[in-house]
Amino acid sequence: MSIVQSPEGFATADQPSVSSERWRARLRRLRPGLVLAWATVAIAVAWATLPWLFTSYSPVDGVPRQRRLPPGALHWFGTDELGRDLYARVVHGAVHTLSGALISVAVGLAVGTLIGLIAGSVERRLDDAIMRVIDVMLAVPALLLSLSVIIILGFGTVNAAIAVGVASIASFARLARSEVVRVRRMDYVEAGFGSGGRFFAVLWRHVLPNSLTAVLALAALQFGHAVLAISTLGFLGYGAPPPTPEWGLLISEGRNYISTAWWLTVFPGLVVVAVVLAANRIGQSLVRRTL
Amino acid sequence: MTAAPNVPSLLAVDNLAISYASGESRQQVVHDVSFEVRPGEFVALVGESGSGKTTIAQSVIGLLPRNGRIEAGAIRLNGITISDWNDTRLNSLRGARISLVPQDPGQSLNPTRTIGAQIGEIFRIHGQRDRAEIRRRVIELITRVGLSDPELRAGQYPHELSGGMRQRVLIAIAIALKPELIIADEPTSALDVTVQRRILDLIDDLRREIGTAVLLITHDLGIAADRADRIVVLRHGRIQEQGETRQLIAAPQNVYTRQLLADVPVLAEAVLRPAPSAAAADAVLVRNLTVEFGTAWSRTRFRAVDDVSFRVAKGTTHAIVGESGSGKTTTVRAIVGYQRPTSGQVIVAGTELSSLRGERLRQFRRSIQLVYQNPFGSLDPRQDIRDIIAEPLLNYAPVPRLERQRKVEAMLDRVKLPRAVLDRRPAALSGGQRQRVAIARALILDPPILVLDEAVSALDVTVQAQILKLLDELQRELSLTYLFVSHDLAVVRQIADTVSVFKNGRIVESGRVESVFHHPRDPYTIDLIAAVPGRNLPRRVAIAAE
Repeated sequence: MSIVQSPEGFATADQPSVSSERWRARLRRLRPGLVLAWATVAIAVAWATLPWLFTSYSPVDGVPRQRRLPPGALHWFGTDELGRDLYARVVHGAVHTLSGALISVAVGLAVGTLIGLIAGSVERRLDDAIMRVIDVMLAVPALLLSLSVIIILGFGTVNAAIAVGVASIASFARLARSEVVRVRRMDYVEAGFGSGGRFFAVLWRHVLPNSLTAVLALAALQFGHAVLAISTLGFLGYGAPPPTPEWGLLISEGRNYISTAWWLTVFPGLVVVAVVLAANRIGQSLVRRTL
Repeated sequence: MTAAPNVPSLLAVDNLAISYASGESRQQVVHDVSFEVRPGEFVALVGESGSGKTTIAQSVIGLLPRNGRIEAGAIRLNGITISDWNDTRLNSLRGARISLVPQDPGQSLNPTRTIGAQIGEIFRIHGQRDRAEIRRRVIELITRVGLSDPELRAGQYPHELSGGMRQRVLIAIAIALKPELIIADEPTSALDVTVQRRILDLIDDLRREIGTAVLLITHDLGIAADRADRIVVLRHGRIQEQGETRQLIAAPQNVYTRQLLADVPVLAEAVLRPAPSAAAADAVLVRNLTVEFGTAWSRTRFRAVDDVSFRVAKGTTHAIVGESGSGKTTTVRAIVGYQRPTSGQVIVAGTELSSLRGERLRQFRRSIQLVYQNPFGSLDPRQDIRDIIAEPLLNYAPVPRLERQRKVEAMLDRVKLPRAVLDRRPAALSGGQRQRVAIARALILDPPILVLDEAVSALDVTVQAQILKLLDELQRELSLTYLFVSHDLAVVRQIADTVSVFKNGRIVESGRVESVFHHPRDPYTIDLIAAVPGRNLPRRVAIAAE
């Protein structure tokens, strides 16, 4: 027996002894695409945390005699114009791109949720004012917004990440506000005030935790976008300076040799595509579960 | 009206067993159910939520959810087994020989099509192509189900009709092809009592007129006793008892049936309550309360509560009764301080409310607490029960942790919940348990006044009876004052000392419960009392009827 949902929504608790059976059932229901997505993200995270386990080549020092070698047994992704192993550069670059994505999602999540929480819980006119500013932010293309921010902050990996995060604040704020508005209408929020709760106590105890589920799902989705956006900024030269093996920068540098050494752009490009797709897939599965 | 026993049955359900897939396993929800409906007969399937009554009804017409499956047994219509038919074959029966009146009139009509088009659809589905003929029959049907202005109604959209009118439209669709059997799944549970009575009268009249049999699915034994020829009592997917209505009511054989009969609140049953002493001070005093709603754009303002006055003596229960839209909830929200009155005075425990703002309003909330109708929405799903009950204590002068723990446990004992629920989330509790938690949360600050806004309406009768008993005990132990909002007059009759009858934002009648219920003066009150189902149920304490 597992959890039974009767029409009225009563849930009967089940015995812990059958939980292993439930796990097996859940395992069987797993979709292969989702498993692949998790595996891809796991590999990318492993590259970022333990790069030396995956490659013995140096990502920055090249061997001059081995310039622009095509992919082979020795160099899986080939080598670049300075004789550096491309696979090693991709592996070592993961930490830059992924930490950047993490920072940008954190910025977007924290600031966006805060703005959404404030807008959703204050009086109507202030809410309107805040949300119109958010609308303006949504109207500006994300890349343009990131570029403007990065020009103010200066170039660099962290600054690029923050710039991408700032561009995502608007969508976080919008979702957070709609969730807050929904949760605020619930009886338990009114009961929180009715039992003498102060404004901020009720927001903290009831509104925020119950609004957060959907917002966190968006964060997973946003992770993929952030990887892409940071790579874009790197490609345009606003991100990490060479010789940092950041993924976008790798693609950008390889572009000069695209006619003679296709692998320099294709392999980093494929890695970015794989990680972005995987993050999107995971994000969507979370969104579907919460909404 | 009852058919003779030797008449062949119209619908026969034999040893039916149905299961639902949940995850990987299957759970059987209907066990070995057998009953029959004879031509022209009115049979009621009675049971609490989760008893399987709706599942049985769905299986008859082949509309089980995708994860449902008939495991054993057969369903026969006029002797022909239809339980193994596919959808295409069943479509020839649906509407033509068996039809369904669904539960929720708000969601069962397509909001983007007119009433006429939706009634006409059934003729089109079953092969009628002549437009003028369809139109003529649609108008005839609309007239038949008692809607005024049939031409106008046919061109209207569902949102332009009230709940009762929509239910009439659904009935029109169900009777369009003069089927042999109508399955009515809780056709009136979303409607006010007076509307409910008219809808049931309509179904009864139509049955007599066209000789259709009716299978009524209901949780309300009172309705079943008033209307049905025979009653089938279900619990946990098993038939507890079935038989002729009169016999079953008069001499129930089964323990559960007896329990159900004992728990149904009956209007005619007086619970003797001590008369409140005349000297008792007022706990709540409402004077000329008026609440208006308006929007910033339109100049017209809607008056939800119109010049309402009443008083509630300390230690008594005052009931506010009325149908939906009568202003009961708005009145109560003004008393609890959630709604600012447009004019008039509300004095609770000696405090005039309209002057309260900010911190003083917060301090005032200690003296009056609200219990909501829906125990599924009034508890935060992310908190455990311990935190829910303790939360009000955190809002005022700090209470030490151990003291808090002790208070929560004492309160849990008071509302008769086991200690084991403390670490659970609301989702793991039943509806009745959740309502006990909500009462515990409301009482932990020792408020002298408790407002119960339809607090037992969402519960099954048995659970409802338990909660009412609990409320009665708590009132005596803690000398509480209750303000009890309800649409259910039978419940009010049991628990209240005084009552105010609301209609369109005004009080049409108020006074002591006995006098209002026995000698109602206002025509609306008389109508309301006459509409309460259950007059065929046995009276436990005989009193003079109206």
